[in-house]
Amino acid sequence: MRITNSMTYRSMLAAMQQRQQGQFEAQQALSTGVKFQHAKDNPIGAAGVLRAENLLATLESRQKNLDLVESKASYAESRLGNLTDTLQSARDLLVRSQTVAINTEDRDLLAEQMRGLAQDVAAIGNTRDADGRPLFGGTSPNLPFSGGAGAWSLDAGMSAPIQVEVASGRSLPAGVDVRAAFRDSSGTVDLATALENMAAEIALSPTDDAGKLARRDALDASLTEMDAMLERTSRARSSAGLTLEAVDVIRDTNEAVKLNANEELTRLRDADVAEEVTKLANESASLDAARAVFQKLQQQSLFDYLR
Amino acid sequence: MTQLFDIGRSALTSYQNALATVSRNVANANTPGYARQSVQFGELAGGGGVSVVALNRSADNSALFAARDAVDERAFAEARAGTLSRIDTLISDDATGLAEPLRRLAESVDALTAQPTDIATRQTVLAQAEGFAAQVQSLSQTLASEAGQGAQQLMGLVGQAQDQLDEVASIQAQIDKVGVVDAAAATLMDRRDVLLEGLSESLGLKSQINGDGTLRVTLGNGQPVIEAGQAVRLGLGSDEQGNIQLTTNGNLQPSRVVGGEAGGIMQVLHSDIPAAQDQLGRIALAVGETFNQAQAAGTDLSGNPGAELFVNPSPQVRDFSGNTGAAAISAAVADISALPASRVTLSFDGGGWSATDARGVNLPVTGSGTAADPLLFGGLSVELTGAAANGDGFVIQPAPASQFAVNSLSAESLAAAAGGSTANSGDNSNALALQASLRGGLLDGGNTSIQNANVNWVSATGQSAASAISSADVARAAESFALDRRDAIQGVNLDEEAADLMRFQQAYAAAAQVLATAGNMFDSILAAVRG
Repeated sequence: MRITNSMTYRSMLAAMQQRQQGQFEAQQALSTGVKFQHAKDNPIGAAGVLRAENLLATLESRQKNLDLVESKASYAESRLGNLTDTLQSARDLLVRSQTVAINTEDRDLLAEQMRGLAQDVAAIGNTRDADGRPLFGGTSPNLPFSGGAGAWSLDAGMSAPIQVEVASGRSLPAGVDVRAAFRDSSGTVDLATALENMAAEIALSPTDDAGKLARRDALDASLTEMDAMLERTSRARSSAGLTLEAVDVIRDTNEAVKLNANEELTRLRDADVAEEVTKLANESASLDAARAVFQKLQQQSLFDYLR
Repeated sequence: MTQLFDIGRSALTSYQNALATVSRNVANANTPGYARQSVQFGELAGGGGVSVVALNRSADNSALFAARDAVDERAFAEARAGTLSRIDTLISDDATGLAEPLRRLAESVDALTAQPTDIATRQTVLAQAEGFAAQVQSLSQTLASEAGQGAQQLMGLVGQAQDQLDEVASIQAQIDKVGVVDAAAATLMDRRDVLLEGLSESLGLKSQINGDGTLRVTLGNGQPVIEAGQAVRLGLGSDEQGNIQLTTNGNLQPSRVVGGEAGGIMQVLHSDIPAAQDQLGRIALAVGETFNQAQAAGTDLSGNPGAELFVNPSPQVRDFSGNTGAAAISAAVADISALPASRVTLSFDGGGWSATDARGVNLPVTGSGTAADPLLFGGLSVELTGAAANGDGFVIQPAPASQFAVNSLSAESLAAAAGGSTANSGDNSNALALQASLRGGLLDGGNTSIQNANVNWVSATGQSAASAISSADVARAAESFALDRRDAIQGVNLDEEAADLMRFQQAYAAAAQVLATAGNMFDSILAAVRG
């Protein structure tokens, strides 16, 4: 083939441009740390990267949900602990009021203390969360106890707490269901009213035997009821504990999934620095060679020998 | 003796001519389109002298033809690869694509499920909804401006091609007149070949120089664009479906006969950009529908059903320009999961309606077109008024992304609670339903989630761009091969010219010596005569 000047020029230029392109790509990979910049450079890899990033975002949301579930459950657990203490105190009052030698003044004092505990129970039930919403009561916007001393009533809209997604196909309650714990065994009387009723029983000072007998039976029944209330509260409290345990297990699982997704992302996207540095060195050396050859060829001409 | 003078003089003139040719070659070594010239010597009849019998122009018509073809292919592939790369960059980049806004929107809904009454969380959902709508708008505008630029480029290419074609016609007329190849004619031919290559590059015109020196320039389908020495008038027009097309003397030409850069741009304008717009519109519509449906199903913080969050695009109908019947249609999206990610062509033929998507896949049509029994195909529902004539048709763009927008709602207006909940309810079941719809298979017959539809779109666009780029690489390699073949024949090699220069210079010096010898001989004779 006859080689002409334009052919040499074109092929040398193309060679240099190709090397420069390679150098640019390696440089970009090194400076950005990723193997490819856009989908056209690796369409399948790009799809994998997007899917992994979407999964990581979902996992991030789930971890946030776990944090929320954990904070709600542990706050509820601690407040239900307070409730247990309060009910335990109420139980002590009941026991002391059963003493045979108790006088009217003492009874009134115990009844007064019991009414105070009823206030405490309502206050615990009406705890607000960090965001200002009622901690107990589920989706209802209202505080569970309303009405005040002597006229307590429980919010009719109380519901189970909302469920939030914490793992694929797994939800946990953001709170504790206290609908049973906040009522007596009949399910119709709220805890604060129940305690006030007990205060009234304690305050009774019958003089006749029949009255005394009735008071003793009533106090016995209240003690049984109190034990049942303590039992229900402790059940609610342990459900919060179970939620907290589940949070720990699921958080570990999510971390493992997250680690996997991150590894996948790294594998698909991150530049192999050693490889890119080698490529850069290679391309640079080739570019130098192409330039040297170009210069050499441009210098060579028969015209130089014409004198 | 006089014979010696004549021979010497003929040699001097011939070599002078040859040296002039060499210097033209050297001077034009880098002139695009220049074909190397050489002189052909011949003996002078009877006298034994020499003359230049012909000026040879080292051009090979088949190599030139192949080079023009390769240039055409390369320009076509590069035009398409360029635009597809830009679209790919646009939709696969974190800053301009939909992946990030979709992810943030999903995250904000995730947060809403956990804290359904928190105002800040609700405001984040609204902000992400606005961010998503803004990104859709910006992508839609960028695609529209790509289309606008493509149309501008086409106008420029056609205008330039017209000038070139006129010039070719007039140059060819001059070449035909001259008949023999002299230096001036060679210059005209060089210029003509440059123009022909330019026409292949811009419009993919084919040109063939016949054995008798006549020129034939045609479109891709063989239709001549220079007739009786006159160039046709090139222009742009719109075809039945509203696509921009080349016209010759006012007649529309199908896009397949146009090649080169214009052909590449047309393919981008007719299929690649609309495909991207339709994908974008479908994703926007899916997001808008999902949110609006969830809003309608739930209760907001004030205890009311939720208001529409997004303004959804509605199908846009374009009548075929050649419709002869009186039929008019109105289209609505009936089933988003059946909606193709492309525009749909509805046409009436042989008394029945048929529908195809942009890839030509047939979509079964049911219904009669009345309000009670609309035509149903590809997730669209169409009502007809008036009678259609055979050959009538409509192009339906199911979801024009440019119409997508977000309503300005207050944070309280998000309906996170289930329908029928009380005001201020802390219920999250409607937000959970929204979260599930966003993640669930909503598109492609219920198989593809919105985020995955975007992933598929990004990946498919990346594939098209990558294959267009590799086609362009192949076309460049083929072009370089064809140009080498052409230049091997018509290019200038300076070493060769230097050798010729020496050769002709020596011959010239020798011829001069012949004249000097003849002069000496003449002097000798004169001296002998004088004695």
